[in-house]
Amino acid sequence: MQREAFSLSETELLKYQPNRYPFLLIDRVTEVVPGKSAKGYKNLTNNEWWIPVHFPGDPNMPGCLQVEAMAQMLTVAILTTPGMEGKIVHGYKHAGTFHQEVRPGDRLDMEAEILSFRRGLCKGIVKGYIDGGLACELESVIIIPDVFNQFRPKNADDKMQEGNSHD
Amino acid sequence: MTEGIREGKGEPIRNLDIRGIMQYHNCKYPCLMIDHCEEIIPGKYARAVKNFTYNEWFFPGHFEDDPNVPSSVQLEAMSQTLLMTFLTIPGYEKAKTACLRINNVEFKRKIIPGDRLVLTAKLRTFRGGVAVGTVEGHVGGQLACRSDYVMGIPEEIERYKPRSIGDKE
Repeated sequence: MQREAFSLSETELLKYQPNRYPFLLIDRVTEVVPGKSAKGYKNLTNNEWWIPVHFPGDPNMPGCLQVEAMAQMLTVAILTTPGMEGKIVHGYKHAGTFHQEVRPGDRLDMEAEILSFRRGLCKGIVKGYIDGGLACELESVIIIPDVFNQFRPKNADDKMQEGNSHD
Repeated sequence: MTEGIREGKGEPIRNLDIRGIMQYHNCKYPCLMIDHCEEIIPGKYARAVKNFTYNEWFFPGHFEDDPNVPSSVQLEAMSQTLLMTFLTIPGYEKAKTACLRINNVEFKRKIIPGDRLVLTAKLRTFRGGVAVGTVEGHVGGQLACRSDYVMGIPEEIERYKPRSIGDKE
């Protein structure tokens, strides 16, 4: 497994991350150690689609999208491992904490760390900072269905269908 | 940055966030291209910041495999910074503006998602509803774009326009 740290610009990130506009919430990955950790940031600006509605006259980044941004940073650490480029990732369980509002003009620095990654199931912790102050945290379990499903115990129905297909 | 600039009209304004900008500015999403004003001397000078993030409407199309900021968006960000120098003069809040002339435009480097554009606008003259000024944009201390602007407040210009003979009678 590749263990050297490297950085990704947006153009390079598009090769690894299947998310696209308007749902790619990472701008730059400053340091990624594949299979281990990823650091990077998202710039916040007035020109984003939630600004007019969340909330009119007092824009700030919705918490669900902070969760999405942090989860995406965690997936970068997995998707940069060899053979995983561009794979679809599903969220399995998220626990988020929000300490302060994230506003246009801020830069949300995110640091993701993988605690375990086995059989397509990944546990990790992500922290988001603004100007060095903790803004949000996420404890997350995500799965990569392509890999995860290979290890799923087969139930009786599946076995019967398999048996039928052999006939 | 403010050395050599004479005192403007009104008190200097510092650290104006989005809610503050919207008190002076008519632009709204998806055409508001500045995020934060660090310093404004009304009638003289303004310094603003625009963060670029991939989550903006022009990046998927410009270009799909190589997102970078269109030059027209840079022009808009620069002109909105210049607007902040004279819309903050008491009495001109939320005035509707028009761009009359853009000269000497230069784009020096590619701006990509994740960059932070720091814009400095200097207003040279503001008379009869016509503003003349220069704006520069820097990314990471490097000059990224610059331009000279002539902008106007059409309502104000109308008041100063010489009347034709027919009107006088």
